[in-house]
Amino acid sequence: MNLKLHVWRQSGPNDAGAMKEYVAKNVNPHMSFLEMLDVVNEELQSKGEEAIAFDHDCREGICGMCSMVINGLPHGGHRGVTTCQLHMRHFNDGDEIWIEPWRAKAFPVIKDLVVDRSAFDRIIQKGGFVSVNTGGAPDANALPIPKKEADQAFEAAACIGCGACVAACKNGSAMLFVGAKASHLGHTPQGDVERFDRARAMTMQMDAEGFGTCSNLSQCEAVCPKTISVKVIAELNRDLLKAQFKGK
Amino acid sequence: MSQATDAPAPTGEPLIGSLLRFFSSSIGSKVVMALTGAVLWGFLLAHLGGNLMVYFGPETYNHYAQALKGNAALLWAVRGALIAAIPLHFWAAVQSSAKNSAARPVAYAYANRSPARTAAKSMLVTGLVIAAFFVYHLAHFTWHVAHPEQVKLLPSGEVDVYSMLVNGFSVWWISAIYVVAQLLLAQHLSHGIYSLFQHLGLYGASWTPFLKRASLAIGYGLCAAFISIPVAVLLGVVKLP
Amino acid sequence: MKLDSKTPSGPIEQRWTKHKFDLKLVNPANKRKYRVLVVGTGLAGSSAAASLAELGYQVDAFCFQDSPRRAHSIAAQGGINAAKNYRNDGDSVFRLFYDTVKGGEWRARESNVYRLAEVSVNIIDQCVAQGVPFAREYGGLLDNRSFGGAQVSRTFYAQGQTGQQLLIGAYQALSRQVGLGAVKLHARHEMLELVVIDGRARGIITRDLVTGKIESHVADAVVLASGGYGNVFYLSTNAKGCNVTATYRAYRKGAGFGNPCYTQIHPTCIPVSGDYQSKLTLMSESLRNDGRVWVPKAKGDARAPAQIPDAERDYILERKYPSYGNLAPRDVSSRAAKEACDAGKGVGPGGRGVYLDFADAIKRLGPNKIGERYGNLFSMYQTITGDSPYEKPMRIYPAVHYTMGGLWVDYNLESTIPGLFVIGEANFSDHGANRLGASALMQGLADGYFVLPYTLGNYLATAKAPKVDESHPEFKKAADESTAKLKKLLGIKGKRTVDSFHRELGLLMWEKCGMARNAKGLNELIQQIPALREEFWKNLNVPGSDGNLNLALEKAGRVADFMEFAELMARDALDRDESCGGHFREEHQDEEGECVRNDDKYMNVSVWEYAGDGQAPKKNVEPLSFEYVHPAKRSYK
Repeated sequence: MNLKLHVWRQSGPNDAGAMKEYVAKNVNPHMSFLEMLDVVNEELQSKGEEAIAFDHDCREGICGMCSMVINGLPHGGHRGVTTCQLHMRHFNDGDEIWIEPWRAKAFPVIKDLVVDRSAFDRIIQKGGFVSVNTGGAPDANALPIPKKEADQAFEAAACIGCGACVAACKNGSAMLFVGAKASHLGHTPQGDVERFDRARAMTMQMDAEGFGTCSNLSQCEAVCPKTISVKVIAELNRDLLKAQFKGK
Repeated sequence: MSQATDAPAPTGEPLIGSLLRFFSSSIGSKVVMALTGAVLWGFLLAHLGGNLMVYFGPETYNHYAQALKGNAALLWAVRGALIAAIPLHFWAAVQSSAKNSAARPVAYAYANRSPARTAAKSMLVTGLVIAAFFVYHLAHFTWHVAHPEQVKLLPSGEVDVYSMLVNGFSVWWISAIYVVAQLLLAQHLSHGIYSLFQHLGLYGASWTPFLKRASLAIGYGLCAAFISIPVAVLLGVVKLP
Repeated sequence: MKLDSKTPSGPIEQRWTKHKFDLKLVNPANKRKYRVLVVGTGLAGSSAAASLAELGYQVDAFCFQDSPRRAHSIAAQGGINAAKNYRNDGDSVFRLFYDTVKGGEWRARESNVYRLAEVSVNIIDQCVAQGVPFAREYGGLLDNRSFGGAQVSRTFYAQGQTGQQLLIGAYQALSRQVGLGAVKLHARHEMLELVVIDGRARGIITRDLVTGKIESHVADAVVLASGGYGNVFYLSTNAKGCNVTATYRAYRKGAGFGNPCYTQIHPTCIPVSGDYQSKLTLMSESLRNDGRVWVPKAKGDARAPAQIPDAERDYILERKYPSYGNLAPRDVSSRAAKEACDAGKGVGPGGRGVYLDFADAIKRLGPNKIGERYGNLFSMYQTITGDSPYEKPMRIYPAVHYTMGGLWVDYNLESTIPGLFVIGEANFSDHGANRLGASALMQGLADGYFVLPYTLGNYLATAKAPKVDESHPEFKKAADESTAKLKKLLGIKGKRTVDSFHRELGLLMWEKCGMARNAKGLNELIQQIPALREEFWKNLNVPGSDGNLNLALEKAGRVADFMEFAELMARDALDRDESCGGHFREEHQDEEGECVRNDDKYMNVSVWEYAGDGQAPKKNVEPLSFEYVHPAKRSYK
């Protein structure tokens, strides 16, 4: 099939960008979306033009590196799927596709479709961990964790930090990401110890990075490639409220 | 050494200070919005209860109105709550809206299609229209400045609230304003009720899905009951004796 | 090249304890005076950087991705081994040690493997303390499953995302140290060169991938945790960015490269679907706990799988290896699949595939139980292929997955360049000629959490190297060389793209140095690679500049190193005139197609020494001896 692409091109962080048109020819329906872009890029480069820059790495939906908004939806909007796992069989011959970077103040564009997501790292650096040093951990089975709790921790821990939640949110809010970390660690007894300090520290950094607030639209949940529930946002809110009266 | 304390929150800060700091944070302002929203929601419920007395006829309704006016303590308690809640609700909305538009400085070329209910996306708009309507509503029925010709006195010398209401809603465009405002209020509540629970961290896998539906039902139900009054007047079900 | 393995003597179970005691320590107050660079932030790199910073060293961590959390350890699915014996099924440190030595066909150092098995138990404890949500049973205790090459259940897992959960644990530990200012993080930075001064590793040259800036980083020790080189085959289960540059540049600076030919071909991957294919996706080995591998007995049988009755199916692994069945080790299972396909019994387009069938398990346990175990893998398979494994058997084929070879290191994980430490997949590893499933995560974390923090201290305490800074001529020279290389790549202005060269190289390697190798093919390959390399340097086209983010330029640098490294790999494969594990020489097989080793000649590590451009590399040998697990025919029958 043949497709018409509209792609955001921007040569650097401080340059103005614009949507540009490209044609993708002979696209095989078994290709992934990124493989389709690879083909377009091969053609661009053989003409001596610079390839469309996009972040990608594992190409199996787990590293969280790929990040593009396809026709107004992060990762193309198929439930539980990242861009690298989106296959061209979901498109039809002659389709026009709009491809844009994540848009948020906290995720400035570096080039074309590549954005800077280091704000997420800085949030984790403030409190998204259990403060244990290497060595001296008790036996792994010394503390049983109810399966239900462990499963809930896992569901939240499945977050890949891709930032689709921020890209989808009309407010550019990072609450699903922050909530997922709070929920992951909060549902383990090891992480429970610091839960209030963690909630406070991470949300303070979240505010400082310029993310928006949560209006409970659940757009984040709808596009999350790991289908993390907005439940984690409620849990974070609860922790923060309690933190005002407990904690240090 | 590296094993310093990890907690960034200042310690030893008085509770009031830490609360103030919290309420001005992004999540804190949402808590303010949720708490004041809950107050306003409660007010609406009570207000509706009073309004529905109109169906029991002029005496009952006027009697209720006079009793309310006679109870200064209750009246001022309610007014006080509203005077506190409305500006706070407004302040929280403006604060987070400003933050939100700053957080998304560049719009998508292809409109953001991430699914969300229109009601949820238009909270600020519906909220502002409702605020404007609220002023009009006060001017109409409380301050008697919007339509003074509709104000009649009872033999006792007090305002005939019942006739004022019937006279007011008999004008089709006044009723239309009320109906439209109520529909927007329905939208606002249908998201606001669910949202306030979420902001306060009240979530349960078993009941939150029900709450979402209940939020819709309560929002629209409440407003349907409000709307029934102008409609009843226009249809002649509620009329002057 | 002097190869001193520094292996301690004495009873094997006491060696690590004794060695730790013999290692010199750095006074706590002095630790902050030492700077350590850690290149790569996968399981090994993140865990090492965090642990070293916790001890008090100044650490700089580098990764080419936008965040340390994206390193390819994240994609490991199945699990991590530990000799906890929580199942009461007869597991022990010694058994894990035994299985690993045997699984690696007696091509690993016994002392290292024993240490690995010994610290495996601490890893699980550490991860749980960090909040890693391993799978649990209803009683709240940890669950286990079985993996290939073992007859006990010792694999801990978190659904099909164990690597992700472990890496996030290590990433969080690292992030904590970044937050405390003990680690300086350099994301989107790629190491281009190692700087060696007076015979010691003293720093690296990096490129800031966003601004293009070439930077010099000075240190007292350098740790490479840059992963494996499977992408030399172009198509592999590795992430697109995985590359050999860091280890290859170190090799050119004098670090010996151990056993580059050992390549793990994973039996259960989704088959190639077309020329555009950019990578291959693994389906976890854990699927073989319940899936049965089969092909039609008749050649070219094109019926739908459900139409083929049981009697007309060949359950290849169950037939050939009755005692291990579908859980035969990876190299053995991969070869069985290749053999069936070569015999014309392969299924699917091009006949390069075998079935992995869950019908029996679904019948036995019900779809819910199977979904609980493999739900995310099944949906991943369906996303990619469009078929549901609940209804139709999966189609799988082997693919390059892991490389056992890497920079040679001694018992202290130190390479032949003093001060250069190599951990995780990047080193020549404890897996010998073949790695068992769920052992890569174990080794990465063992090196980073529990071995390197001890051995690196010993180096720093004893090295007493003079202070140097960025103005040293070696730094200047290395930085200039890196810049010149980038300019050269940009200046070729030929006709072909980087990817077209990489694909061509990969195809050559897969055909002649892949699952089965022979002297004729390897000799041809050694002629073909330099020719391709020559064309690369004449006809490459890299658009753009080196002053900003330029993905084609990054890739060109990596492929340039693969072009040289591939030749080294082919030379090693040709030189190792035996079959063992991940190195199968067609000349050396028995009548059933199993590996035939030559222990007399090759019970050793081949360590290659760079001898200059255009010169054949020099081979050195570290002999291996086995006191505890006696070499035998590796049988899984």
